[in-house]
Amino acid sequence: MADVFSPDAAAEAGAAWGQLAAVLPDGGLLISASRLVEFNVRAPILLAPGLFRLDLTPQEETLAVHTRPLSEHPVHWRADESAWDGYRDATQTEPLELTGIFVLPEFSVMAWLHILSFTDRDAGAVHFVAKTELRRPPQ
Amino acid sequence: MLRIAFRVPADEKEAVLDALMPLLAGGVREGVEEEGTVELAAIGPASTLPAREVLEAAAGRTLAGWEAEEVPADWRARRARFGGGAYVLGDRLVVRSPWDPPAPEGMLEVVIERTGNAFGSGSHPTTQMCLALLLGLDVGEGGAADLGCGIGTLAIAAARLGWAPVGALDRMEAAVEAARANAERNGVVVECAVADLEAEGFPSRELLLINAPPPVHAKVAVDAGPEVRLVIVSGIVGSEVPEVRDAYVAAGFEQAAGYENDSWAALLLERAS
Repeated sequence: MADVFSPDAAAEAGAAWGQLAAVLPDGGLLISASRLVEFNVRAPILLAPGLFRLDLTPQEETLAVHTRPLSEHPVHWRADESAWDGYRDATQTEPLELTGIFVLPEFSVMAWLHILSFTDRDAGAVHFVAKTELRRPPQ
Repeated sequence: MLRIAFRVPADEKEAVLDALMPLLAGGVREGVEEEGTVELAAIGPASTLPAREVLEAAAGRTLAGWEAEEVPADWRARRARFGGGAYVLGDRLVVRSPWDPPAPEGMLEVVIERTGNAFGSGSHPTTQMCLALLLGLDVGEGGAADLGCGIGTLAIAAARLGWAPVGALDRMEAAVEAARANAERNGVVVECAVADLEAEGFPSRELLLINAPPPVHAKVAVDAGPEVRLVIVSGIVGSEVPEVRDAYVAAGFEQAAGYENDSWAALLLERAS
């Protein structure tokens, strides 16, 4: 399978929307991107080759978060419920936060995912800034 | 701007999106499923949208029902033509923004503009479930009150269904202003007022609509007078249902109906005879 920690592969995979990828100083991979997405459009925000694609569909008060798996291996996602209202309520500044564990044949990968949003109602769209840090979980 | 659209089998949509999303950087609009297929549409400058052949090669299939046409860049102009911000409830009611096309003939519509952080655009499951429960009621003569009204969607829907008088209370002044403007936009009479439901009283009407967190329900359950016959409850998640329902049951109500959607819950409570 693809090297899930390859910055070159990640940058190439999300090149259409300017996705960036870099090796983290303490190991692992950082993938980040920002997008302006119209209401009711499902747009890819992050693409981690061999692991997942994050799509977001902004609506007025709800944000559909799609974590599409890109392999057949088991994956478990968990969301931090304390930040759920951050999308609807602009007075909250905490990012949405999700944590995923990918159980690959050779090893597991932990994905820590942050999504910040800013709604521009005159533009009928939402600005998103998203990043994920991919790491081997501590033994 | 160019709009391209095609249909794919609904059960293959995600596989098609896996192949096409990296090429359609602006994203896709997913249409309503019809006869087992769903429309996928993408909008962007012609220079940024891949050719049909490129997309079909990536998808490994023919993209049926292909359409390509010039569309306005302005989102409101596109919304007026293609919709996308309306919610249909029970095949009877359409909740839409002022920029969406009018509801089909014969359907009731509520036109609302969301401003600030106020709640009630119709996109949230709690609003939709409250409206679904409201549509199932016979209109009574004792009026309705929307407690925690946000931008007034539930109150306006009740008024449009024939409930009168209708009140709408919220503690946020901006929400009440939006509710008042939306009521006027819909040509209905709704008495809108600022009130903190946890500290102040509320009008006892035959029907209460309460899309609000559990502390509001705890207060309303205790204070609801004998005039209150029906309460539509939401703003709660599934794990909060027993506590909220028990508060109303202790006050003489019983559950008559309920929905759950995406972890949220809504209940219809009726005063026990």
